[in-house]
Amino acid sequence: MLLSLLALSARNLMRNRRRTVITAAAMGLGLASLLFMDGLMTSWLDQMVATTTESWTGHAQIHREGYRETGRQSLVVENPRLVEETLSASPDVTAWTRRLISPATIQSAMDLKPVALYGVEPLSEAEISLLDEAVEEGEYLDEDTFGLLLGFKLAETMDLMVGDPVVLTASEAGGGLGQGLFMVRGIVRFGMEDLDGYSVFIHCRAAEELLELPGQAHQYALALGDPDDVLARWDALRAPLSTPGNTVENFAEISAFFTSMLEMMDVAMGVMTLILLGLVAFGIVNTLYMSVFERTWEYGVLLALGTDRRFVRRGVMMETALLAVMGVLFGVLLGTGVNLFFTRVGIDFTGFDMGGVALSTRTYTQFRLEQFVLYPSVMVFFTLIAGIWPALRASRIVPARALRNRQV
Amino acid sequence: MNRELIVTRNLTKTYEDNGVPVRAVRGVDMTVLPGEFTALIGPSGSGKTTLLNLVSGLDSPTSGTILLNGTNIGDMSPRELSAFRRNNIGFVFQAYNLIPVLTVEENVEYILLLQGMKKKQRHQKVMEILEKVGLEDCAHRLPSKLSGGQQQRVAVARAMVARPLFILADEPTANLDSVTSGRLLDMMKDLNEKTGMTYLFSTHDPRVMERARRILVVQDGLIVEDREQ
Repeated sequence: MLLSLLALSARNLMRNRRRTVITAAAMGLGLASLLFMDGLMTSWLDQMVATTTESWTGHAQIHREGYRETGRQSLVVENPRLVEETLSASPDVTAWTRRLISPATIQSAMDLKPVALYGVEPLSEAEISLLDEAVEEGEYLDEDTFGLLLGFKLAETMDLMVGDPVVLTASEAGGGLGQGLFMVRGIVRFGMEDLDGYSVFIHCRAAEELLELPGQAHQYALALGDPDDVLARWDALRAPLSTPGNTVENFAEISAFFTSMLEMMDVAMGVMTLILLGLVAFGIVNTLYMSVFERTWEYGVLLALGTDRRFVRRGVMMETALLAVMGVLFGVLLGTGVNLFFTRVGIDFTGFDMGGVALSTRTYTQFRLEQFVLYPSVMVFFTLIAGIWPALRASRIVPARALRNRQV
Repeated sequence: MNRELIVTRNLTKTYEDNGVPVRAVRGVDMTVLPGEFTALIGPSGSGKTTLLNLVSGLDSPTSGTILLNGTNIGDMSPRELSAFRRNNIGFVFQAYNLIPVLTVEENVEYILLLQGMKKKQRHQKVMEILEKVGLEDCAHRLPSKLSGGQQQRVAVARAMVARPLFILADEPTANLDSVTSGRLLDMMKDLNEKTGMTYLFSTHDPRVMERARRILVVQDGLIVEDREQ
């Protein structure tokens, strides 16, 4: 019986081939658009994660408890020697570096600006971040404690060039003001608004002196391997890295931006899915309703012959399901083709900025298993929902009236 | 044992046409016995088709009783009525009403499929009836590839294949030429005589009247004459 219903439904769909193909194509285009957008957004997100983690943040960071909430300079990492021993001993930590951080002002001969001051260890920093590679003018930091790096936007704003002298002023841990004379050694470009526009980088020893925090750290930045793997295994990774009085957080926890970006992308994809599939559903309702309307007399005949109304409903729902399968197949094929093309060729978004992170390379769309499970399933679900009304309409046809209209 | 196959008692049907009540059937008492070859005749709009629709349960009466093989169909639920039609009534319509996407064989087979008969048995029964109506060579053709007369023969085969209690034929020859009509009616008459199948026609075709053994004249929703010939 089911096979007969399937065959009957398939033949009914093929009666008006053009209409069926157009409807399936509309569904397919909708699905292919979703697959493409998902591939693009996944790629953007990965690019942003890579840009942020590799550029500066690292995969995880250690701070003193309360430091990130208050930013108080006195909240240095508890027992830094123990932390460093733990990090060095951990098999999961591929690299780590120590940082001192403070709000400061930078003063040139002509200008004065507030900045974020970072004291870094040049050698280990280069293993965590792209600070060394970000130098576009001048040179990277060395053991010379008078050298200073600053973001290119800050340099442009203050009209500073490599070799210019500047004065940094920051609060000392003891409450006084520390000042130091530095020489611009290099200008860096990260493609991240806060690092390019508001940050300066000096040797950690110079920062220790300036802030009166010898041997201390505000932050340890760690590299732990693949970012997706870090998030997936985070609970297992975190525990061995924890030390008393300090917090260990991954890059997603550190950056509210990532969390909001993930949520925003989910919402954006959800809204887009609803709009696209809603439009597709209207098309399906129209097609099926027209199809049922045109065959009113046929349903009248079937009902007159003693066909159960449930069988009629199932018939229309079977046609709907077949239409959904055709649409999904077409959409998956088209979406795979388009994604495959842009996986290889990419799209040039260089210079575009997302939440302060510049897209610096071509964007290559990505395949995810979810794309081929979630969206097709949602499309089939929407299509079946759309088929309910025409199915009910068909099953409620009054045979005598349908036959009278046919015979007149 | 009740020998009456179709019984109506004081059957009425009133419907609204653009807000105007139309009394299509006005207190019809009718009895049809098994094996009859009966024609309801009368002018267009006299209530013949409405009477057939009421008798088959396709339409519900405003008042009155319909007993089919002793069962009051007014007491049946829609689902029971549907099952009753499937198992006991064959239909032949004026416009053939074959399902266009099904082949001749599948159209005839459809009722048996609904009845849950096994495929092999279905095929055998279908081929038997197609042979009786002379269409065994057309089994795999679509209705659109057949002439009007052939399509109506398929409709007769579809109506008869499940061996229903009776066949209701609403203007079966209205769309056919005289030669084809004559052949079709001869075939139905022959089947009636050989199988004892009961036929109730609605018609104003004189060829049907010539062949009918009993004629019920319908006028203004009433049976005004009942004669045997």
